[in-house]
Order: sequence, then C-alpha cells, then structure tokens
Amino acid sequence: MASQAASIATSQRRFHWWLPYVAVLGMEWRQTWRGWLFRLAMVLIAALAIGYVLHRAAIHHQAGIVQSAAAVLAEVLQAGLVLGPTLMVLLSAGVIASERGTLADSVLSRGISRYAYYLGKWHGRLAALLVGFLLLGCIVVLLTWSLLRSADLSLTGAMLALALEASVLAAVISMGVLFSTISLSTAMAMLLTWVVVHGIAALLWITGLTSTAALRSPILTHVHPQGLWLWMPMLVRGEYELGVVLRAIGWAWLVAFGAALLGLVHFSRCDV
Amino acid sequence: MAFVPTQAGRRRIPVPEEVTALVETQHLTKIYQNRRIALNDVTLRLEPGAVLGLVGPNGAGKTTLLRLLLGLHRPTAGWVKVFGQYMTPNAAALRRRMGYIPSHPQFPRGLTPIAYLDYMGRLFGLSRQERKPRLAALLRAVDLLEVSGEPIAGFSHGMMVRLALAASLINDPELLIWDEPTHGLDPEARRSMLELIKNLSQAKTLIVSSHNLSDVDEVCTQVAVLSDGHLIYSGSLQDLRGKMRGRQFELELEGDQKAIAKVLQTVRGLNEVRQAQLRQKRLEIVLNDNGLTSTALASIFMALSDNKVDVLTVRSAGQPTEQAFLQLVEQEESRGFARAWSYREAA
Repeated sequence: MASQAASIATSQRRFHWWLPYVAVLGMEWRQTWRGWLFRLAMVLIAALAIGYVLHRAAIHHQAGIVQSAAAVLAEVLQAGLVLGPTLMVLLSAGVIASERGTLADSVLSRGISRYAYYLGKWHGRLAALLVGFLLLGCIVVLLTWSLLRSADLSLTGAMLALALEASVLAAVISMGVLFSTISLSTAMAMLLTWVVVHGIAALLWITGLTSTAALRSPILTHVHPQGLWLWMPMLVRGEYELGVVLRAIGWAWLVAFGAALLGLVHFSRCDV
Repeated sequence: MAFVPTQAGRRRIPVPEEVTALVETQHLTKIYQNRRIALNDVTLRLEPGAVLGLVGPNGAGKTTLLRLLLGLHRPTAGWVKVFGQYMTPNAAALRRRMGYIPSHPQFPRGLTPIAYLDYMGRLFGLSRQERKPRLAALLRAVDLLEVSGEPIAGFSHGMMVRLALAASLINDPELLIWDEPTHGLDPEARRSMLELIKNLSQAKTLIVSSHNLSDVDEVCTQVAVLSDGHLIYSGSLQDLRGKMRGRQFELELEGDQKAIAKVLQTVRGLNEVRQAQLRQKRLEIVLNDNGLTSTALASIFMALSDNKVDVLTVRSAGQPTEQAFLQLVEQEESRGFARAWSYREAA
C-alpha cells in the first residue's frame, strides 16, 4: 500500500476554478432530495394538499355543492403561507451548522474558498426546496383546475401566486442559511431562524393592524404577511396588477439576497 | 512592513520580506471566544522536504495549530504563511497544494468511496480525465478496491482512515498535514502507514500529529512539542534526544543481596547519580544532567566490580524521544511563573 500510494502522488495536474462550487451545489442538491426530513415533508404536504383538493372535488361532484376552484386553491396557498416558513426553517437551518467541525472539515480543507462553499450550499438548498415546492404547487394547481373546472380560476394568476409564495419562502430559506453560519448547532440555528422570521412576521402583522399607513408604504405592502394572505384569493382569480406582483417578488428576493450576503460575509471570516 | 490578516482585522506589523520556509508561523495565538487559550505565541518554521512530528499532551493545541495552518480557523493574533503566502479561510489556491487527514475523519453518509473521492477531486478542481484514473489507483493502493461500490456508512475505523488517506492524496499535494494518522489502526495498518510516510517524505513535506512517540521517532526528521498551547521545543529529533542528558538505566544484577545493597549505597553516593533504587535485583538509575554518561556508568560498574556483583543486562529505560518529551513537559510545568520572564525575553 505504502509504495503504491506514494508513487501515485507524483503526477502533474490542472485546476478548474468552477468545479468546487459545482461539486458542493450538486452534493447539496442530492443530499437535500435524499434527506428523510425533506422526503417526509414532501409526502405529508402532497397528501394534505391533494387530499384537501380531492375532498372539495368530491363535495362538488358527489354532493352537487358547487366549489370555487379559486377559493380552494387560495385556501391551499394560504395554508402554505402559514406553514411553509416553519417547514423551510426546519429544512434550511441545518445546512451548514450540522456539518461544522465534522464534515465541513473534509470539504473546507480542500481547494475550495469559503465563498464557493457558501454559495454552493445556499444555491443547492434553495434550488432543491423551491423546486420541490413548485413541483407540488403545480400539481395542486393542475389538479384543482382539472377537477373543479370553475371559470373563476386564472392559471396565470395561480402561477404568479405560486411564484410570489416561492419568493417569500426563498427569503426564509436564505435566512435559515444565514443563521446556519452563525449558530454552532442545528437546533440553535432552527430556533434563531424561527424566532426571527416569525418575529418579523408578527411585527409586520401588528403594524398592519394598528396602522393602515404602514400598509401603504411600498416595502410593507409587498412583503406584509397580512397583505399576502388577503392577496392570494385575488391573485388566483386573476385580479392583480402585474407590476405590483413583480415588485413584491422583487422585494422578497431582495431580502433573500441581503440575508445571503450577510451570511457570506460572516462565513468567509468565521472559524469552522 | 506588511498587512497581516488576523481575526481582529488587518494589522500593520513588521514581517520579514524573504521567506524560504514552506510553512511559517509567527506569534501565532488562538483564543476561543475569550474563554480558552488554545495556542499561545507559536513561532515555527518548516523547510521543504521535512517531516515534522507534532507532539504534546491532550489539549496541548496540536489540532488547533493544524486547523490554523489549513485556514479552517483564523488566528486571534500572529500569522501563518504556507508556500510563502498568508493562509486565510479563502486561500483555496494554497489548500489545493495541501492534503489533510483530520483526527476523526467523517464522510457524507450513503456515498461510496468512488463517489466520495470523485467529490474530493472536484473540490480540488481536477478534471474528469485526471480524477477518475487517479481515484481508481488510490483506491487500489489503500486496499479499498473491493468495497469501492459499498456505502461508507458501513466501514470500520481502519477503512475510513484509509479512505481519508486516499482523499488527502487525490490532488498530489506538496504539503501533507495528517492529524493522528495511526490512531486506532491495527499493527499491520499502522506499519503500512509509517512506511507510506517514509516513502512520501522523499518527495513531499509532511506534518504529522501523533500521540505515539515511537511513530514520531521512526518517521520524523523534526519535532515540535506543544504544552498548554505553548511551543516548548522545535527542532531536530537529534537535538531533542541530546537534551536528555540525565538518562535512565536499568541494570539486572546477579550476586549476594547484601553486596547488591552495598552497591546501591555506593551508587547513591555518586555525584553523577540523581536517583537510584533497587527493585529486587533490578537497579534503576537516573543520572544527573551534567557530566558524561560514560563516566557515570564507569563509576557504577566499578562499584559493582568491587562488590563482586555481576551484571546480567543493561537497558536504557524507555525510548530517548519519549523521555525527552516527558522531561520537556515536566520542566515546562515546573517552571511556574518563571515562564512569564522567558516570554518577555522571547518577545
């Protein structure tokens, strides 16, 4: 073994600077999809969402009580708006914290910069979770549309509502990754992210209830939880202004990038 | 003057411009969250081609030093240079030329050795044409070819160490940093590991941390001794052994018990002898630091001869490196507050 291994370690090599980032991104994507928590969450959400739509469709077809496709879809999306952030906190806060001092050693001691590692982790987890969410969302939209077939449902509006919710979740995921770099354990990262995300949501909700002026401000209108909640039924019915929706999506992504930037700066300077 | 990156930010401190050492640290200090001093003012130089053995008791700061050399940790004060450049968390180009085995290697669950080494190769930016043949050859070299398609999760500790060894060589590094590579290995695997270090040392520079001083004695050309985060010795193994002037010897005697007891009294009276004690017919002697060992032994043998006591065996107690190490640590601990003065002198 000794002489063989020693003789192998003598040849020349060339480096591709982008490969480490792609390697971490690919590994993160695979690990997320193979994770038991992610799979369990996907199965539970699919069962709940599809089960609810089928239940309402059964009422529509069997009992003859007309069900509005837009109303059913809006309810599913509103549920996603309430439960989604907590689920995303659980799925994103351990991305770096769980590997610190153990698995991260075998990666960060190689030819990869902290920036490439962080971006690979963030992009990998973000892509896996959002693709999972959008996949389920599209299935629910198509199922609702095909089973209930009411004229009040706008497919474009539904897709925009999905995109908006995905953007909000992207902001939550990015915060999860940010707190994952700050915390020394997964549990602490989850707790911190959950408290911050829900604290901000609660603060905005209270502000919205007590001050109508605050709701009119450009930032709060677009990312305000109360605003989003009330917005969903209108969006799926096609009652929206595209510019406003795109602005809201933009704000959510701005928060996501801001959180990621903070995490990147911190992670590039901290001990692992 | 040059800017030096530390945890506290970039500071302007005097730094010598000419650097020929492969690894160099200056006043390297690591304090964790103002709670624990893991490393204290370590100044170290390692020339290309050397094999440095890093030894010290548990918690001496060996792993912290290695992690600082790799940029996994940032120094609280002082600096680290590898290949003549400052090591930082983002110095990927420097780490591409280094190979590392952590003390307790861990791997992503579910991956096979092939997938893992391929991942490691990509982390080093190696193209498919380079990494695939290389990982195959390394798996064969470390005897993991037969299990190369099985999940790592079911591997024994020895197999994991061998996989970590392959991972540390995948990029053909110039500098190898191995943290306790023989820890937990069976005698055969340990022997193979030591042979590998000897072979690699012909072409590469190695830093090997170990608890096993006989390993260090066998493969290292230089040694650095850490105690409580402080570097108490750095230099060649020969010099370290030379520090052991008060050597210990064990003499197995044959003769009348009364005569042996008389010899003990005579030996205890010798100036060269610091300590002598008798265990049945075995005479244990510790010599003083000053004076020649041969003179002391000559006096002891004279006493034995005068009392008609024969010698069955003469043995140097323990291994020289181990003795020197233990003595160094003991001396360091016994110096007490005097260390503060030597620190000022060094500064």
